[in-house]
Amino acid sequence: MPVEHGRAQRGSRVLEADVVIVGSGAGGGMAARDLAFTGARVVVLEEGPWLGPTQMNQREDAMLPLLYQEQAARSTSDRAIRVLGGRSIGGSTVHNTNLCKRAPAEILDLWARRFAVSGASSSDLEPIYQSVERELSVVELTIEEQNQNNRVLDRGIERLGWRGGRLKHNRVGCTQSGFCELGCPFDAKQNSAKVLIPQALARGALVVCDARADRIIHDGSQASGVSASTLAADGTRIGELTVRARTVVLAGSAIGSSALVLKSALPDPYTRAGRGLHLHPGIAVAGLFDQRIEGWKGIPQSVECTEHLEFSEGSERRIWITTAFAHPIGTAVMLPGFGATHRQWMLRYPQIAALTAMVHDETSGRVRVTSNGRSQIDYQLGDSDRKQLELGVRSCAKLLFAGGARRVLVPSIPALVLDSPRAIEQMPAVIRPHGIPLTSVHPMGGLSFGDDPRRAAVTSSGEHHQVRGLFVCDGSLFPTSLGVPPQISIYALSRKVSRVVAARLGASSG
Amino acid sequence: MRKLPRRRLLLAIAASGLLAGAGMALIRASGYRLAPEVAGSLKALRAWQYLVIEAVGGRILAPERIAIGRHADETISKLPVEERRDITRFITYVEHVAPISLGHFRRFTALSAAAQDQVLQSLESSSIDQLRAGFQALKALALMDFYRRRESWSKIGYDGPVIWN
Repeated sequence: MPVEHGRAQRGSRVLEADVVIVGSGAGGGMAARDLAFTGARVVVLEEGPWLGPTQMNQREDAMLPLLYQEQAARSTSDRAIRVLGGRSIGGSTVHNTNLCKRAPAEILDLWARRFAVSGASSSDLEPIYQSVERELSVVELTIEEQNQNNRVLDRGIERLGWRGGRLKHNRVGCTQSGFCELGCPFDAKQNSAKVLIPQALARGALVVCDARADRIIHDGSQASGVSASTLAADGTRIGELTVRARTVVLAGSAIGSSALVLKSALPDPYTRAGRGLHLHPGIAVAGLFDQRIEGWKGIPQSVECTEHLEFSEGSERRIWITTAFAHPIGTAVMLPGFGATHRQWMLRYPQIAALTAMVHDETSGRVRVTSNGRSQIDYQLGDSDRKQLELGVRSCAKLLFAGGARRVLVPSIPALVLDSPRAIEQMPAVIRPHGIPLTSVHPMGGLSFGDDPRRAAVTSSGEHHQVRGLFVCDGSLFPTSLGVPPQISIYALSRKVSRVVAARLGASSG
Repeated sequence: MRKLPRRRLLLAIAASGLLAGAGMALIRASGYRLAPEVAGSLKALRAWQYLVIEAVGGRILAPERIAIGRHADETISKLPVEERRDITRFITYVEHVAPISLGHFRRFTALSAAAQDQVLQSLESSSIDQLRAGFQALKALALMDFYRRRESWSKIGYDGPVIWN
């Protein structure tokens, strides 16, 4: 059964299902696959389009608007932090860089101790992580797969004697073309779109793309479906689609799922919906080398530096560093200045290497919904996180110099050009809103799980505390930042929640 | 002092508001020249806004000379309505207010290249977050148009996609 296109559906249509899933990314794809395998009638609604490998043309101007929410222009309400998220069958797994890291054990312990999360300890999740990693072909990247940008980081780590190492990924048949963030035309990503959605379809799931969930249907205590709009290619509403189902599963990302709950007038006696949003924001720092780096070629991220990353509660070392090369538009937009000065940097594009430092943030933001139904992300970077990012900038600069850079560019406004490692110590503070580009690729939280309804929107099993039959299985579950890329944990928690859903469906079918 | 009856006061305020608005509209609308076929094809921008974007793009991309107006108009037309509104308001600010803050009593599109650079630099480094954000948005529009072109890639030594489509 192929994917159905909402853009071909005008008028009104009603579907009946056992479970309707909103979103087809890591969480939605895993839920669709696992629940379809139980024999349940599954309907998946995906707001974005279905894009196959042959449609991935590796052009920034074409793919960024297609693959990303709000044409890759989504940001916090003060426009200080760009927030990237996926919008197509497969969600963010279509454009992510395939990094696979489990949730740190300390974070899972913290969730249990501080946030009353049960059933999600390291030992609870171990068999689930193993099954996910096996099904998605997760393996460690080899030294031979390091591109020049990653070799710079590797060299810097070694020369400074810092902690770090090779990352794991979920690719098979990768040609190392270097365009992961624009979708893979070689179909190498073992992601939701490649592995999970096809398996769900083969087991009878119905997947409808170009279908935006507008509202959860409920009576205040029981979910009964989703009301959605079918969309034309330009995003305009052309029809109505109602899916009646006793079980609703939300997997539309931290931003999307939180916004849908807020739009649906669900009971929320402790005002949990949308709160506790973490963005894991990052900055990029560039180094200029004598030799060609050509950082746009090869696997974008294969090495990490964990020298300043430690997950004990209250840690003041909360920086995760990896490489961050962008194609010309992404690089040009990040570089400060304009005119001749900016051009001089772009003419050295092949000689640039770039690193990113992301903060395992303590700042807690909020998802809201505006009067016209749009998501709004309120997030003001706290002082503690700002200091961590200052540490991140300096650490990236040290790594670049140790990796052989002649000069280091910090893209603050005004730009800082460092001519030697000694200059790092004299650097002024650079982290301020709109003073340096900040990006979030890992929004988390907003509908956190936990057994205490005063502190969590959903139970440890992922079910809404007040509305039966409504489940969440995406990154909005996290009570805190994870501090590392979340995709594998989203797949794993989705599998965990899906087992509860399956048991419930089995029980109700007798 | 003579006090006006409330109704006459309100009418006077309304009339002066209309006159001021008409004056602004006249200032805004006058002195701009754009080919009718271009003006008629715009989806999001008015003709004068298009010309402001072109002027800003000319400085962002200097010494390269490409016309970014059409692509910018197309891009802006696809943005959510709030972003579209913010960008067009910022264009108004760039054209009519930003130059005054630096002592230039001509609109941005009538300034010399050096004066335009001065205005843009002040926006880029402004202490007001919204002005910096607005500048970054216009800068991104210009750079997106330039660096999506194959001829631009060869200038910076970038190979481009490894597949042909």
